Amino acid sequence: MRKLLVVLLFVSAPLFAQDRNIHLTIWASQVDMEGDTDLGDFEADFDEGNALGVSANYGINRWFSVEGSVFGIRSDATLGFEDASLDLGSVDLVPFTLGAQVHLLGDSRFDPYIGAGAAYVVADDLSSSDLDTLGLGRIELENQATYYLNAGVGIRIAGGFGITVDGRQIQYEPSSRSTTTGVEQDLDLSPRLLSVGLRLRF
Amino acid sequence: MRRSLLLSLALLLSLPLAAQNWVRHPGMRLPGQITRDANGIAHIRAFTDYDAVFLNGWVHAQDRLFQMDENRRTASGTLAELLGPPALGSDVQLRTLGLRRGAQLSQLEYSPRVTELLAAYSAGVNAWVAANPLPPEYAALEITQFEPWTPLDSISVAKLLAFGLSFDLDVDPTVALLTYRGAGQVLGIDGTALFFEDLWRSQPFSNASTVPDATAGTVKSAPIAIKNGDVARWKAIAEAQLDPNAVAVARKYVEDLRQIPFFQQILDPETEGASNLWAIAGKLSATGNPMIANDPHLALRMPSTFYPIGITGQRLNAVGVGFPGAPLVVQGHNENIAWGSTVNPMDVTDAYQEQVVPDSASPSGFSSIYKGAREPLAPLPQVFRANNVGNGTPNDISVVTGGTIPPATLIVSRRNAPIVSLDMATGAAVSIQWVGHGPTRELETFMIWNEAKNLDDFKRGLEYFDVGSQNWIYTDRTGNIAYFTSGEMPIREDLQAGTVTGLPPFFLRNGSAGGNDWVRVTTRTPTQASSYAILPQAEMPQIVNPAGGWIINANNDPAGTTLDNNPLNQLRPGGGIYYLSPGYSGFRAGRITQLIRQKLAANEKFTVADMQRIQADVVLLDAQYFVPWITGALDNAAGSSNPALAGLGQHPGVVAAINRLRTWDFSTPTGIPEGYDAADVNGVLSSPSSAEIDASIAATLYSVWRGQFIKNTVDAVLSSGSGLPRPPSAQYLTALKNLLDNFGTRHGAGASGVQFFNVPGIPNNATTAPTRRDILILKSMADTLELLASDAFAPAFAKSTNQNDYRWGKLHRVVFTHPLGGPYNVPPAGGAFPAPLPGLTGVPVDGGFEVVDASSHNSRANTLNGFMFSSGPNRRMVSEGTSAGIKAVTSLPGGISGRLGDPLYINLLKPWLTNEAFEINLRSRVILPWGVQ
Repeated sequence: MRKLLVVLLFVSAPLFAQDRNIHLTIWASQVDMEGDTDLGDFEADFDEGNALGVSANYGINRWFSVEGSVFGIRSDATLGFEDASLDLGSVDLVPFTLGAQVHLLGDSRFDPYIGAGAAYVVADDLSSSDLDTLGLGRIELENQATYYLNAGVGIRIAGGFGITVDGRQIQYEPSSRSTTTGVEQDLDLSPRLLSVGLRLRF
Repeated sequence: MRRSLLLSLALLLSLPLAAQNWVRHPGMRLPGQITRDANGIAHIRAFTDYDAVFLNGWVHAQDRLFQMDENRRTASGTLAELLGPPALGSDVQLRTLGLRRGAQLSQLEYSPRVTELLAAYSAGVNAWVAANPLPPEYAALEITQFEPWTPLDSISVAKLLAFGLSFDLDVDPTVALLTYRGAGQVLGIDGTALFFEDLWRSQPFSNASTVPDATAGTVKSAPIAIKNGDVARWKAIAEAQLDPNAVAVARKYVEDLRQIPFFQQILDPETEGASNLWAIAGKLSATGNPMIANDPHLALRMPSTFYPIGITGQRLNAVGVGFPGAPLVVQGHNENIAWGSTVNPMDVTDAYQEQVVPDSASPSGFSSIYKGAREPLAPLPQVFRANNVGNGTPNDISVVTGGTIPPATLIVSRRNAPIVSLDMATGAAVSIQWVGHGPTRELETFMIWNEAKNLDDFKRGLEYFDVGSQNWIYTDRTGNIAYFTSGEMPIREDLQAGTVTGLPPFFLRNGSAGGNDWVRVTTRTPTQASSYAILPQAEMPQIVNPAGGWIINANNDPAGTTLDNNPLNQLRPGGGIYYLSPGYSGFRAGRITQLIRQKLAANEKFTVADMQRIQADVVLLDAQYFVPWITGALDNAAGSSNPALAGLGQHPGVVAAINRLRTWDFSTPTGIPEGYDAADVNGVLSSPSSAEIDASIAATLYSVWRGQFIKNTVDAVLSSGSGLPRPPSAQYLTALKNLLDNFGTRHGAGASGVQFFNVPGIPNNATTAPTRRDILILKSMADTLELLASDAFAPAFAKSTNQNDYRWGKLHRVVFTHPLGGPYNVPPAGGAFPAPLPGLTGVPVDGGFEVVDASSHNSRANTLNGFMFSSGPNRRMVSEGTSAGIKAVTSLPGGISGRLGDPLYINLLKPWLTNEAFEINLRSRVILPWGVQ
């Protein structure tokens, strides 16, 4: 389902952009999750990961724009106890965002901006053989409506093409639940994405 | 105070050290951790039970691999493949008895969870072996390969332990009874009464009986036993006949077994399993918490039988002791409950006379006769191998044939009973049926208890403890105390019919005529392993939270069924004779009962230290009874007109010796600076006080007198003529007590008519009975003094006639023996524990005959080394159930490691020798997120 949404976004954005001041950006990201979550004697450790994403940016005027994006994030997760480490599998997140951006220098070749908005994070279950061995089954991560902040700078290179560097944090503190015990546990994943994007202006 | 401070220091030191790294050895599913505390005890922590038990196998292999290998090979009858041809005798007997066969049947009955844990344990052992060199014992035996450990090995080890705790041979009493009967016909005495009423009495030395005492006599046993007083039964027993050829075969079998060290331990009453346990309810304790104490008595070996360990996994979480070779904690505590056990000598073994005939139609070529018809004997071919040690060739193990090596074991299928001895010339044979030959599931019990939450869980686990009958003591954090007995007790067809056909089950029974078989069942109860009818758990002696607030068992009669000297005169609630055992020990239980009643009478509350003091008690209960007779004899001699008695009454040595006994408190300290006594602190020796020295001398005089009195009374009668079989060690004293208790009416004669107080050189009609008695009592003391000053005792006392030299520690010594002997024994432990007394073997320790702090010797002892002991507490434990959990202190003989030269080889020994204890703590369970634990 999430893959379908991503594909639709890719397909529909250029069509929508044909008669508007619209940027379409494809992102490659380095992801740094919030990191350690204290779980009693344990610590959930979500490693650095990678993401691919796409965003569409609609300029309302030279100072403001609206951005919608979707990213596919993957990072490895472990559960630490003293000096022992258990594999939690990989964290697969798909955050959908919709927010506003302020372009600090207006519509210029060098385009620094800041933004904020709403996000909806869709998460896959955590699963690993260690979790199975522990009798926890899969760990379901709650899909969560939340917010994000971002900042970046776009550089127009030639014609409609440009490069954008963007940093954003998506606040994501889901409830998690074991499929075998049913016990819930709050986590703080809140991925921080440092992305480089190829921007196409229509 | 000094003792308390040192104890506190010891407790602090026993706290776990800094956590060790988590490891993930090949074969583990997830990481686990082994932390060694200051005593070297391994505390395992793992995320899963599989990995916890994997590491259980790992640390057992690390510390006790050779012992484990020896145990499994002993059980399996393959010990000669390790130790060489001298072990073939053991292999033949144990292969014939079939512990491994029983283990194979048991393996099929275990639950999937226990099966998985057994696999984990095996994987842990084998992982350690794969990663480490074999211990040095293997090099001495020219062995460089280790046969991989299997779950069946662990079950076999469990069978071996159960066998040692529950096996009994009915041959000695049979031979004795038949011989007495034969002698009776010749001498005109009642041979049956000589056996049952005079010498092999079922009635114990003291009346201590667990359930009746705990309920102040309001409950005799779980099923209210009904008196079934038929004197005719004894007449029937007297007339019961056995094939003399079969009895001869049985006798030879026992003689053969007694040549084998493993069986010597089992067949010797001084080394067979015994133990103490008791419980004090919260209302009687100083803290308001219930407490239990337990000290199981087993052979004192190197390394020690038990291995202390803490195992914390996902559900498992227990600390205490286990057996090297088998997983889990078998005695100890978890977060909620604590438990311990003593041997309950339920009769779960029957020996049968069989008639074997050649039969070409039988697969084995032989059949046995049952009710006149032939029943084929099933053959189990056997191949024996032995390690050819000493030729320098590694792993030189070859097949052994010929001689006494049987090609096959023959099985009486009706009873799943092996033929253990066969006279081919006459066809006379003996088979043995033992509950453990069938499937049993003791490890299931321990798994349940290692994670039990409450009394219900404990009772559920009890249902699976099928063989190796035990008395169990229990407490928990909610304030309960409880006592249970366990084991599958077979129902005999004749007893269930309310009669005894032929001889009772504690004699050789008739396997050919029928009537003595165990009753078969077609449908087992859900927790039953045996395919024979068994006494239901509800009919087993048990009690929960007795009103009196205390429970005691020290291998004594749990239900009071033998106190009237007849174990067969009670009925089951639904009919049939209620039979548990032919007899019990009463000494230690009697003494513990005394101590607890003294405390209660003084309105004092019990503390952990009180429980430990009882465990350390070394007072001779029999001396309390006999010393007044001794001093009375001297008093009587003073005014006697009998020259012999008057002369003994003026014997300076006798007078001095008996006057020492007048002021004796019946304790048995060593009385020497080299001796280890409970009064010493934390293994550090101190010079004995003058009171200790006095008690020590009295202990020597009385203990040697005991043997001399037996020699001059019962043995003098039995050894006259052709010699009659002697009763077991403890029953000598039961017999003498009975004779003295009834002296006023019987004048020293038994119910058989035999006069046991014959004075050499003086016709019985020339003296009165009391005079004859007193002469023998005083003569025994004169003989004692002569013996102590003789050449035989010169290494201890240098032929001194000064009684001040007769310190008990010179005689009461112990050697902790290792199967390879020599430097492995303690002393010398490779030089780490030199023999303290020049010219004398062993370590001098306080204690004596059937004292609470078990260190017994044969009651007939009369040699320099005859007062040594070889069995004792293999673990002392006191546990307190608090609302926050279980608190426990413990001590163990020997050390953690079986490796000679390792600092842990004897690291626990000295504190054990002086009755110190250290705290043993449960490690905290790993609390997983998402709530599995």
